[in-house]
Parts: sequence; structure tokens; C-alpha cells
Amino acid sequence: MNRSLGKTLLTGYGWLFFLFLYAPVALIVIYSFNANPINVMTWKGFTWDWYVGLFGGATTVSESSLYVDSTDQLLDALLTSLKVAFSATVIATVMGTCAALAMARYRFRFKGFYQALLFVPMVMPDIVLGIALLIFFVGAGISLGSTSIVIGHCTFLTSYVFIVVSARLAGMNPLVEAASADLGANEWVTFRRITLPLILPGVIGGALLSFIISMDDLVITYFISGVDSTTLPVYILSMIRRGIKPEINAIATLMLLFSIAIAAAGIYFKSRNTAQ
Amino acid sequence: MSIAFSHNPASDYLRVRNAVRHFNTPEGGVVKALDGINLNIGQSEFITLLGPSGCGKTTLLKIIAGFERLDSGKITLDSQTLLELSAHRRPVNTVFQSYALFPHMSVGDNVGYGLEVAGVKKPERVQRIGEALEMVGLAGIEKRLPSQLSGGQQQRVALARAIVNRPKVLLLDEPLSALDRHLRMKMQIELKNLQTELGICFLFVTHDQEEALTMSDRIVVLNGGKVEQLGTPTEIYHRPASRFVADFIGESNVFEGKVVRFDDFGADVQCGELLIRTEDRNLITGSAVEVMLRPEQFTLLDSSTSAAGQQVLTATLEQAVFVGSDHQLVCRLASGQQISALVRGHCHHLQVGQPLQLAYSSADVHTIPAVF
Repeated sequence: MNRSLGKTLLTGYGWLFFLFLYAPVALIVIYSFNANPINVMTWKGFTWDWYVGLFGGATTVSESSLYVDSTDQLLDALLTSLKVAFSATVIATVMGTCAALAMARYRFRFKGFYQALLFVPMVMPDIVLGIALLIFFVGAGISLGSTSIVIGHCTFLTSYVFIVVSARLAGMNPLVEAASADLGANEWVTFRRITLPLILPGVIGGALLSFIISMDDLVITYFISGVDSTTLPVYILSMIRRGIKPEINAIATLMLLFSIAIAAAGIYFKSRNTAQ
Repeated sequence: MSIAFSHNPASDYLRVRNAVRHFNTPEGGVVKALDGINLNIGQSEFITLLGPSGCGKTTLLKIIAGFERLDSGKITLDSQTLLELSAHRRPVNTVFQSYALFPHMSVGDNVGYGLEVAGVKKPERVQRIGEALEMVGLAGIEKRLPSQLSGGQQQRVALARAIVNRPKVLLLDEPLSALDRHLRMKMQIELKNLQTELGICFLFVTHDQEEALTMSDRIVVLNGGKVEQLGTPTEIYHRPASRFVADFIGESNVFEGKVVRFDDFGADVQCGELLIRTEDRNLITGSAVEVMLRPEQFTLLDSSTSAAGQQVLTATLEQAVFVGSDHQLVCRLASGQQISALVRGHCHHLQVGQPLQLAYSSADVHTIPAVF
């Protein structure tokens, strides 16, 4: 009796927990189809208008009620975000993977210290990193723009890749590399034929994770983006300043879909072959 | 000219000279993994490095493979200095204890890896992969992944992957230790046959003395980074050079004593109250020796058998254990020393506490110079 009561309560708690986590997200998705242009939280009817409007299509709502100043700006911001995320991901994946290999395969002085340094950017408050990067860029005479955002993102994305690839390396038998050398392969061939294929799921997982984090980053990017290099999150923030409008729900829903797709791909690659 | 110089005497193919390798422990101590090792090994010998864990056997193997460096000393293979070559340039291949197969490659790609890296063209490669797999009794499984094989099959693939490259020396690092007893014994014979067929030098590391005795042409017994003895299995078993070898290989009864008399045919050794006759020569009166007798060198005397030409010990039976075809008898001598005897046949009539007459031949008695 007691047992089933406890089980019921626990199940109830479980549902409440997920409701708490996902209800706001679900509301954004639902209200992105709301036809009410004035009060976003009052349901008036179903419409695709906000999605159509985002991409500059003809809508039934009056032009003045759309908050997207111009579709061009929105697409510019999206393009900047994609470019930054792509560049930062490539650089961070290469650097993070190299760092993970060095930590896993070689012994050297101050190794523990270096390892700690690789974790720090992850736990450092974004605002501190943002301000620090801003001061650095200004001090070093680097003009703020896409390049500064890419450099800034690399500082913390490298840590994420490092951790994901390190976990993968830890699960790999280091003797297979010795076996490769024993069979006549030099270090480069061993890396290309043995090590890289075996850690590839981790490398791809780390890259996808980097990509989402870079696409999503607001605080650090806000500090180090120049006037002509607004990323999508920074642009959305500027839209919200002028009030919450249904287009924002539509943008949020699209970003959500995109993130879920990337995360699913990341999980798929991370878990692939781990059974061996 | 070059022909004359490339000639290698049979036991000079692989030479290890004064190999020293010390490790520093985190506690600040020093472990002498190799402490001045000298070895001469022939071109087609099956050599076993035998010793307890920490004796340096695996370190020596790793140094020959190129995974570990030497503090000082020299290693040459076929008149070529090995130590200057990095691991991937050495004409040796290793079968690892954990097999270390490439999990993302098929069996065929695993076996063909060394050939591919060496630039062997595909048609030849495919043929040699097939031959190597056939040699280890796994023909036709090229397409499978290592994870789809049993432990014994993975072992054979690892073996095929190494021998397909026709190495000058094949290094085997306790490759049978993960297999069950039945499979292990089968593999021991197969390995020996394979070595004879290939005619290349096998350097096999194990801590299992039975394995060493079964397969080897010669055994190197290592202890504390030093060679205790290098000899054929028979020599190692019947003529151990030290107390360590006598204790490590098989079971032995050892008596400490002093040579009291010697002549042209042998010597008498006084071990406490016992006087033991040996046919070992070169013993000097007064020198301290240890006398060794294997348990199976005793025969049990009863009223019907005579001890003509044999020495006899009298002991009290303490325990008799049936071990299949034989009986293991634990007896105590009048001096209080315990001895072990392995006797054939029916012993059901024996009772604990009963006095026994144990006969041995003085030809079987082996003496070891005692070290104090």
C-alpha cells in the first residue's frame, strides 16, 4: 500500500519535473503559431504568418506590427552566427583534440597545471570572460568583428572539445597504437589509420557541441561583437528590448529545432562504436 | 666480401650485451628491471623468458620491440644495431598479451596492416593475409570484426597479424595467459609447430614454467633483472644453476650440506644426519652445497622390492594425496625436514604415520653451489 503510494508520488514528481523543464519551451512553440499580433499570450487563431514574415514573405498582418526591421538584418545576423560557429568549431576542434592527445599520450612537466588551465574557461563566469576578452582585444588593437568573436569562442570551445575527446581517449586501448608502430607504421600513419578513426566519434561529438554552444552564446559575444557583426542571439536580444513579438517565438522555435537536430547528431556520433 | 661478413653463427643472431634498465619508483627507490643482461640467441630458436612478475622479462621484450629504452648496453639483430631504430623500423613484430587488435578494422585489414604500411600491393597482400590466417587455422574469416571473435580466435588473429610480415624475431608477451587451460595447452603445441614451420626466432615471455618447459628450445630464467640460467628445458629442470631456479621450476626437495668426501665417481654430502651420495663431479671437500632431488625421482620400497644400487631414505608418511595417475606423498625425515615424493601406482594401503623407505639413484642427485 505504502509502496504504491510512494511510487505514485514519485511518478507524479517525475511528470512535474519535466513539465517544469519543458512547459516554457512548449509554450514558445505553440504561441509561435498564434495569430494575435498585439498580445502574444492571448490565443487568437492558428497562423504561419510569423514564419512567412521572417523570411520576407507576404503576410496578412500589417507591416507596422512586424518587429523584424528587415529580413536582411535577420539573415545577416544568422549568416554571421553560422560563419562564426563554423570557424570557431573547426579551430576549437583541432586545438581541443590536439590538447587531449597531448594530455593522454605524453608525460611532461606541469601537466596537471596545464590540464587545470584547460578546464578553467568552462567554469569561468561568461561575464568575466567577456569583459576580459574585450579589454584584451581593445588593448591589443584588434578591431571587434567576426574575427574577435571567433577568437573569443575558441577560448572556451576548446575546453569542451578537450573534455569530450579526452573521455573517448580514456576508453581506448593505448596498446593499439603500440601495435601499429610495431607493424611498421610511423606516428603520422598511426594517427591517421588508428587513433583518429577510433576517437572520431568523440571528435565529431565535440565539434557538434561546440557548434551549438557557439551559435547560442550571448553574454561573451555581446561584449566582443562589433557594430557590423551581430550574431543571431545578440540580434534577438535587441529585438526583445522593443517588446516581445510573435516573430521572436517563431525564431526561437526554429533555433530549437536546429539545436535538437545538432544535439541528436552529437549523441549519435558520441555513442557510436562505444560498445566495442 | 659481404657474404663473408654477413655470416652469423647460429647462436649469434640476436645478441644482448650488458643490458641495463633501472626505473625510479615514486617512493624514491630504484627498481633494477634489467641489471646487466647478456644473451646470445640463434636464428630459428624458440626462446622463453621465464621468471616471476617484476623479473624484467617484459621490459626486455619491450626494449627489443622499441617501446622502452635501455640505460646502457647493446642489442644487435642479424649484425644490425637495434637500439638506434625506432619501433616502426625494427624487423621484429609483437603479439601482445591483450592482443591489441584494431577494433575498427576487419580481421583481413588487421592482418594486412603491416603489409599495407610497407607498401605491399593488394593482390599479394590478399594472398599473404589468406596464407597467414590459414597457418593459424582461421582461413576465410577476413570480413569479420575482432569483436565478433572469441578470445582464442582473437589470439590467433594477433599471431597472424605478426607473422604475416615475416619478422626476424617474433616477440610474444604472455599471449596465452588469457586463455582457458585446455585452449592454452592446445595453443602451446600449435605455437611450437608454427615456429618450426616458419623457422624464425620466437622470443616468448611467460611466468608459467609448464608453458616454458613444453615449448622452448632454450629457456632464460630471469630474476631481479639478472639471468639466473640459460639452458634447454631438460638442463633447467634437472640441472638448475641456482636455488632460485630449483624452486621456481617444478617442485624440489633441497637439503643444505657440506661435501665430506669425493672421488672419481662423485661425492658424499653430509646434510645434517643424512649422508647423500651424488654423481656430480668437481666438488671439493668442505665446500657448502645444496642438494636437490625432484619428487618423482623417489621410488617407494616395500618388502618385495629391493634397493639394489640405490640410496634409501627413511621417512614417516604425513599425508598422501591422489593426483590422478600418481600419489603425492608428504613425508618427514627423522631430522624433522619435510620432503615430497611423487610415486606411481596403488598406495591405498599406506597409512599416515607409517614409516616409508624412499629410494633414489645417486645419478639423479643434483648439487648447487650454496650461496651465503
